[in-house]
Amino acid sequence: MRFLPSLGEERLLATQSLLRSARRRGLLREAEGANAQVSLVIDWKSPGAFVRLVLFAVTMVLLFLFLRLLAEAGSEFKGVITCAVALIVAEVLILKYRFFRGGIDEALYLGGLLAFVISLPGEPRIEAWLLVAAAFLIAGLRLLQPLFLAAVPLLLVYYLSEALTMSAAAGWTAVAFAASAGSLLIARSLPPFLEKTFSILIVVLPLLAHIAFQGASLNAIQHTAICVLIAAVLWWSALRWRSAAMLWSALLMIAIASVHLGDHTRLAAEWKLILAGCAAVAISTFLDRRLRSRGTGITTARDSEEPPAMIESIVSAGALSSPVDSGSARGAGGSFGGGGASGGY
Amino acid sequence: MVRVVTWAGVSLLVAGLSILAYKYVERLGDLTILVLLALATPACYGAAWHLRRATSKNVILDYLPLLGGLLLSVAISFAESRYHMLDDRWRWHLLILFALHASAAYLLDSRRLLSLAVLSLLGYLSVDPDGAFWGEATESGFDLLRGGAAVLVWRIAHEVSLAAWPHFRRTLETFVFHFLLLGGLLLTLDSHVELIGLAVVLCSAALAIWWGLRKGIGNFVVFAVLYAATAVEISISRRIDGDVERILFLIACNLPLLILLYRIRRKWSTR
Repeated sequence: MRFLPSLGEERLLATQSLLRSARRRGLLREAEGANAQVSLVIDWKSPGAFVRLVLFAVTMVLLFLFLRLLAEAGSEFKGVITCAVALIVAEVLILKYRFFRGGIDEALYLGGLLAFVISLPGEPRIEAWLLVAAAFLIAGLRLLQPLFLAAVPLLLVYYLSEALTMSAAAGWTAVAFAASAGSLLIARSLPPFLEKTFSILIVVLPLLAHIAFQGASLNAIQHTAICVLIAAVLWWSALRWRSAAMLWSALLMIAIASVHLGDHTRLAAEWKLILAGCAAVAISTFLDRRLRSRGTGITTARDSEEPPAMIESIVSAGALSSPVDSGSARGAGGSFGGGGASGGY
Repeated sequence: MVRVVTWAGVSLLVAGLSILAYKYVERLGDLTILVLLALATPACYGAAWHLRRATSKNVILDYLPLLGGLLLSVAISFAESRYHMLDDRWRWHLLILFALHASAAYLLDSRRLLSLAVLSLLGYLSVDPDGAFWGEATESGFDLLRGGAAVLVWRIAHEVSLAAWPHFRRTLETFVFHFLLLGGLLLTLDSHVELIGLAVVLCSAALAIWWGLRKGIGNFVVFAVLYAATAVEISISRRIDGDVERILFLIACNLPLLILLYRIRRKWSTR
């Protein structure tokens, strides 16, 4: 029994997603797209982002209604029952029907665990955030869900900042988490779910650090200097390793740093807006030129400039990462290959 | 990403320039500002037209039509605020803007300008005789229905005589279905016009599903099902007394909805 897709299958699912995107944007003809899709078929089911979001939302509403129904019936164990039902249904969907990040299974796992946490008896306490983080961690590890996993450090930083009122410590923790995520992202080839997890963390953690530092006892200049420093490091790293996540993060931090720098000037609001607009256009023009060449990492080259290369890479990437179905392989007792092999097969 | 940054830059620039125009009106005079704004629009449109066939485009060139369109909107609103040319009938400016943006969209082949034109048209249809934008949910619902009907007529006219812009079809269809479905949904919230709203949502959803199935656009089918289910649930749950019964009804509705959505998803993934 397979509990999760293998690494190869996970890569194949990522390739399917790329292919869907290429078909939607008209980069593949209908027949080409259908053929490529057939060559990438595996038995795990993972829908596109929009349908997944819809399925997730509807399932969450259903779980909430179920919890409300138990509460109306006066059940003391409403959280435990909801959690148990949700996890059992999710496991059936995963193990029997091969759901993998299908929206429904994600909502059942996370919603079930959260229903358990919020139904715990007693007064609400700030420590409950740690239980919420644990729920995200369990759901994230079981489903290899990057968003759930990325939520864990965010909740921990929030707990540090709010519960322990250690804003500066929370800010530096967020910076440390982001730096670790960045170095792991560029240092080694990671499974797709970890790559996405670290990418999300790189985008969100610097923002969280900024919010945490606002609560710390730093003066305006120190705060602005930290923002500018983080933005500069992210900008340099993004261009050096051509990472989309780092670039998003850098752009967000540049926007925040610009607002802080604007606070130290005496320019009128309209001039600040015009300058910010010109700076944004200059940045986009620079990025457009700098990232035009193809290679490792992100590119701004238009798909219409080289569609065959993209199609080829999508289809060949799928073919190369085709998983070996260990379940269908049968040992026949031969001893072909390897040192000292008999040659009988 | 580069597009988002460019869009943000263009928006900030236009916001700054519009404030600047009003602030410097005493120093520079109405006419100077109007002439400057009036010159900026054709400059943007002209550059976009001149460079439309360039093989290696810079991303900013894609946003020149939008920049021109926004500056044109600023110029017209500035002229109206200073000279009160149409006075109480100021909403006609939105219709003029719609005509100008739509013409420029077709001329420059720009979907961003097309969206601006659709929003100008909706704005024109949403201003009531007192000059007020958006009222209560019911009023906004009727405004959206008028907007949806107008864009539907536009979409049909596009098919008849403007088929040379095939990529505009999907944009117009998206606006038509969202305006009609959202307008109908808002009407279902008001018990006085609930049945009209329900009928509109169900008819529009049927149309969107049929069109989505015919053209292979899965998203149309999914959001039509969602809008229709939400309208039906709102309408029926209002008539149910008791929380438990209402919750049971909602569970009974949402469970088949989930299965239906999942089946739609499977149908599209095997295409």
